[in-house]
Amino acid sequence: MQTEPTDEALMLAYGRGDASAFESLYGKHRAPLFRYLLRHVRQQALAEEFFQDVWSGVIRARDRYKPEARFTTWLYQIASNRLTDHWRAQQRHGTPVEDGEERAAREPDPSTPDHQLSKFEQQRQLQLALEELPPEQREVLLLRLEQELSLEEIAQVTGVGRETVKSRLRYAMDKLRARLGT
Amino acid sequence: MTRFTDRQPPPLPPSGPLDEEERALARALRGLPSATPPPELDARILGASRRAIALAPKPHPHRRGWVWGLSSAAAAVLAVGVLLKMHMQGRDAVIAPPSAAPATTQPAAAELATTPAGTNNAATADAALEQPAAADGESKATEARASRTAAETLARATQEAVKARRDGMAAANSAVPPTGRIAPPGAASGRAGPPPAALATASNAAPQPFPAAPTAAQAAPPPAAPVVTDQSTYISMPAPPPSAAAAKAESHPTPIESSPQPARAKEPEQAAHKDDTAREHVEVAGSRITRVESAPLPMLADDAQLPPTQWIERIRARVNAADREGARESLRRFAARYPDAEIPADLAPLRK
Repeated sequence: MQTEPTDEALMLAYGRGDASAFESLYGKHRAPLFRYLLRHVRQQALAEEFFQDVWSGVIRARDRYKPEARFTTWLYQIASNRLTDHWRAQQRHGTPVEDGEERAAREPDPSTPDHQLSKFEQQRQLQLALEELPPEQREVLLLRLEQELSLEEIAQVTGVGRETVKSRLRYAMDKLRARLGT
Repeated sequence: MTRFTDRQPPPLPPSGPLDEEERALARALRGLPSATPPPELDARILGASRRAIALAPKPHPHRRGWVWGLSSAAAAVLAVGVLLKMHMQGRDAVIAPPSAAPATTQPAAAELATTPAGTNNAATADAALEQPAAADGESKATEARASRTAAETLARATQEAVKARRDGMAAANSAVPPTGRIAPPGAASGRAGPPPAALATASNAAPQPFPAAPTAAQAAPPPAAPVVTDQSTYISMPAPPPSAAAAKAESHPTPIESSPQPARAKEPEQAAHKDDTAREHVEVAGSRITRVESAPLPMLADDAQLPPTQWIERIRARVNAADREGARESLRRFAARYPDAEIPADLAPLRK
């Protein structure tokens, strides 16, 4: 039985000039990466712009890629850097009011006993809870829940210590729990 | 065009298994509506990936080998040419007119000493040059024979010439310090020095004594005429002696080391002063001064707090402060943190 090449092997193959290796990698990671970006910026156009930036970074760095870490870690590190640039730029131009917070304030309190959450409603609450999170907590949460990265890998992606990651994740989970009433 | 379906990616290898609560949340997250990149974006990215491959310079082993061979041949020709020139200069010195070859203690003078007029005190140089005795009538025949076989024994002859030059320099240094790097008066007086006129000339040309460093003998150029005993003859010479070219060929690139040459008696005193000033200037402006005055740099861990551009500047500051290991480590961390960032060319050697 022929085993599927790993992401790292595919990336190395692309670095050597194998264009089909990139297509395999892209096909495998495009949807999760796009979802990750969209959950952060919540604007399709912005997510598309960042998505393209991230893959351009992958293409540019193909010669320098070394499989010292998982390809996923490496890919999301590029994405995280792009998002950090975005947050920094936003801070320079004044932090806009999180529309998630505004919308959450208008929502009925889900913790009332008579409020029965449908599945649709639950998803909506989750979406709002995600939007309420500070970017650094949201980043850690998404990397953990959607990409299933370990704390060490998230630390590598985000450039902070493992304990910081652990703390951010705990805060994020607490907020989600409170929001969802679980 | 490649079409991608919105299939769920295969599960990643377990790098940190989710607990029960995390798994439930992850399921809920996956259930959230999410858009996918539009096909035209896919096409754009895939096109860029193919273009990058197509435009990348491919290694061409044949062409590289050809260039390598040509370079090697050119280098070999150049080396042979230099050796041949050195050899010919050695021969020119041998057949120089007697007026240019009074008794001296410099290496080129040792070559000149093989002429009949040479009052020889550099027998070692004679032996090394494989020249017969100066007064010997066979000298011309030997020269002719050496000339005929020069092409065949070029490498060997040149090596011997260089050796002779070194021997001659050593012999000369034992007799007189080089003009540019004059030994302290006490040291000079203890040697079998040149005639007083030569000493006076040397003193005037380079009045500032340098410590008699062990490298002085190697760094000093071997001019033939500058240390001649007959000063009037020396000064009236219209052109530099043939060995000056050889000295130029062996001259060193830095102004400090080439400064002995202008210290010849032939040149005016101001020139010597000018060069001394230049030498002082170069020494003062050395990077060591910068190194001493640079402020201590922050800890390596602090570099990561900087934005990318400032981080790169910090690495450069580490390089300038001679903290090469720190710069290397900081650059390694930078590359790990920003994998898609281009490393500036001036810092690229740190990654090797």
